[in-house]
Amino acid sequence: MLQRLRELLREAPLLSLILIIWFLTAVIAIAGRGHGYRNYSTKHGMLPGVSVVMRGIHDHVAPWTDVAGGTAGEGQDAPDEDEDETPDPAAADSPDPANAEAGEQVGAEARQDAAGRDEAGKESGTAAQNDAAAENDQAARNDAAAEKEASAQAEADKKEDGGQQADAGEEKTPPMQIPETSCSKVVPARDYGAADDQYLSPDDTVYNDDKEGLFAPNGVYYSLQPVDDSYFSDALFIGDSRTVGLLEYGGMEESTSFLARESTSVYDLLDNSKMDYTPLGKKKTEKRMKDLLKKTTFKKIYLSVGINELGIPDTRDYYEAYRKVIEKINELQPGAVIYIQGIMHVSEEKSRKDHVFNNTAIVQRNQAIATLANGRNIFYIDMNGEVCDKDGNLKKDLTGDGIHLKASACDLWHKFLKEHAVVVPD
Amino acid sequence: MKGLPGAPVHDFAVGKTRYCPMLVNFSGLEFIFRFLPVFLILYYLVPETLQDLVLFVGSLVFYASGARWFVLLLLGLVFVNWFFGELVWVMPGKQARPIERRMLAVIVVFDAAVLVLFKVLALKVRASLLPLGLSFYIFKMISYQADMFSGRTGCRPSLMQAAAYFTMFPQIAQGPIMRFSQGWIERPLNVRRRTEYAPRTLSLQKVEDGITFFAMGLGMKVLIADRLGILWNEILKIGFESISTPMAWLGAVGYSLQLYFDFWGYSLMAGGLGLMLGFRYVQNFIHPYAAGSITDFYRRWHATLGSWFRDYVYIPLGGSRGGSGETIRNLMVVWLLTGFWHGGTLNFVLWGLVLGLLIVWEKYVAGGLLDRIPVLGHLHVIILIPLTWVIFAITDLRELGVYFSRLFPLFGAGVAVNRGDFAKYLGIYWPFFAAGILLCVPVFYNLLVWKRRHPVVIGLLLVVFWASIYFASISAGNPFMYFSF
Repeated sequence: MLQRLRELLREAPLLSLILIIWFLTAVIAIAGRGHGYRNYSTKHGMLPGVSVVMRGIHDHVAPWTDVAGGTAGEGQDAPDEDEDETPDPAAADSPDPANAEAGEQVGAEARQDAAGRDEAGKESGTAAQNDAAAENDQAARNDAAAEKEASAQAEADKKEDGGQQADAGEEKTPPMQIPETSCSKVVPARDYGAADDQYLSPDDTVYNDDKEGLFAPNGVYYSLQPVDDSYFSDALFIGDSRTVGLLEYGGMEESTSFLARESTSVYDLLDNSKMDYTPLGKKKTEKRMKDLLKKTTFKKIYLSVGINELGIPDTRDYYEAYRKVIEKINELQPGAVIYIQGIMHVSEEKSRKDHVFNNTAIVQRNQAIATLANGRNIFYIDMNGEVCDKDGNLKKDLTGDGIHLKASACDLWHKFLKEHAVVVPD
Repeated sequence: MKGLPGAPVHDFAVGKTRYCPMLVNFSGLEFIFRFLPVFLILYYLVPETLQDLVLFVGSLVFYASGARWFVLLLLGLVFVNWFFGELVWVMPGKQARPIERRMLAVIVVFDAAVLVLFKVLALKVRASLLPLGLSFYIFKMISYQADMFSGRTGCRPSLMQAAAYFTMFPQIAQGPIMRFSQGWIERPLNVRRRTEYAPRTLSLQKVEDGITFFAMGLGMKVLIADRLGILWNEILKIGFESISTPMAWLGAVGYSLQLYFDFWGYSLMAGGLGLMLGFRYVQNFIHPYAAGSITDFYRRWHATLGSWFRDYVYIPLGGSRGGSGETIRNLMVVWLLTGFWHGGTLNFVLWGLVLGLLIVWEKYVAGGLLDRIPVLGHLHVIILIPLTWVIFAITDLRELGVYFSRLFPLFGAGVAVNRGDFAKYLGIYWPFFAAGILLCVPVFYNLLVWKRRHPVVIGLLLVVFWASIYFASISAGNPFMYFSF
């Protein structure tokens, strides 16, 4: 027997080595099934063992790693706290290596969570996760009931007002409505039925109904108005590849600053992942959002993420992460105006058949994040009206891949930004 | 990405939640770690007489996993072609009777009509109506009939032999277009190559060689072609009107390398699988970019398709035996058909036309010069071929015009061009260009093949294999691994 094996190894070394490694990965995969790899099983059985191990390597999960059953989201706040208390400018100026390291660790964990979340959606989750989902649903339903009453009331209020802009100090019973002039409407789009339910949350989910605090309107409102390019000189654009496109082709690279990188998601912003910082046309350097915002002050911060998150269930989770990012930005830059840019829609071709990248999901997510605007220092702006057809699909001649604006169309975005800005008196 | 040359665009859309293992992709994990091992064990366990049956049944499973109900079409075509083959068969040494000639005409016209019908349906109705691999197995069937008539099959195949030949999974999706005689008779059709194996002998050596070629092909596909595919996607994303001229050239070269390694990689994997099943190695790519002329390039690129057109279209039309007028006509017919075979849109016709003209130009005008100064011939290939691939890649003629105006910026400037694009993308993609260009030089690849039992090469291939598996794993069912925005 041993003789035969030795012969095999000599006669067919590549084959035998591949078989040996395959065998080892299978053993590792089986060993890690209940532990590190628990999120990689599908309702159709295990993925090939090799695939499980490879994904584990990619997500930095070892078979013995203790992985939660996909309920990410919680626990991400806690580690943040230890590095937040740095109001002292001197301390903020010199980045503390210990803090940086802590941040890195948090990042790794959160990424794992994100991976878990991703998998959990695709596959049947563990019991714990199902429970969590059920709980969420319950909460959402309760909220929804409350919201229905509230919105009915708000509607009535609006009628009395005649749609006038509410002035500061005009106290109303909560929740307050942001005047239409302070925000873009969420641009609707036609639903082709391609969206996979796992990425969506129930239609009646209520997102932000805060009565006080950062995300609640309090009667102080500013209106969107046209500005010129000098407005952007103290602004920072944070985003994914679409923002990289704006940097490279929008004609704004000299007049403003960017912190962008391809494939950035709101979860990456939470994790404080590395991005590329390009200040006012100068050379780009690698920076993390928190470090940058601690050191450099911006008057306006534009956020544009959301396309990469479409494949991560679901809208509620996205909303929660987005909310935390804004809290964090507001904390680090309390004087800045924060713009939530609605996710740009995709082309009709994509929206019709892509289960992940479609406008049904995008509109739902825009509706969720739009509720975070308070009209005071957080604004929702939606440029889809400028680039979409009557069905809310990204116009075909403006996009090459159905997802991004072509270089020659980035100017439309730039123009939209110039038309929709708020000027806050110092 | 557009289809490969010889791989018409297929729509593999699967249901929203339905789980469907896609076996038809050689670089897919389900194929490598599930289908292939099970199949090989069965194939090696059964007696030799049952191997064709196992191959046929396994291939049907393979085909059905990707093409669904089109497997019934395949079954029907297999039976009809075997049956007609019986009618067309001419005993070696006998004179063909008119009835056999007529039967040959009937079945060839029928097969060609099926191909044209589905191509038109795919073009006019829905792309998903083109059955996976139809272009390839129809060509095998036509060659089978012609060979039955001329005696080149070398024997009168049984139903099981013919069925296994038409459907064999290593070749059904994207070729190579093997001849029946290459797989089922003792005497190789083409005796030029020295390293031919006798057909259908199983040995550990052949399995080892098979896996060696498979690993090479897998690496080319996953580690080079798929990476470069992202670059082409970036160019689509920016929009042709906004790329700088150096970027346009980088894109043309990148796309050419992507096509080459995608298709060569696939062919190597198919060849390797064939070896594992005991077949002779079928060579489909013979270092085309080392060719000294475009004519030579197409003897080396997708060689089984080129020789198919030569044997079943060009020579029956009269080849170059007539006057130069007839020869030019025959060449243009072959190249227009080649264009149409690759895709129904106008750009493919244009592509075939341009190649036909280039080949005529080489044959009658530039030939002598290219022979005398070989460097010119090589430059001809290296510069003109990527340009023809651009025609191949861009189905919209207006967009194609825009791309060419960026390649040759004589007619106005681009819109919102970022001068830094070339440096940026070369900075990201240079390792793939470097690896690709290195492998275009025959000596490197030949050295790898020659020294394939050397521990260093084995170690290298082991790394390539598992690195490919790693990338295939993390991108499986996870579209934003390749395309993250």
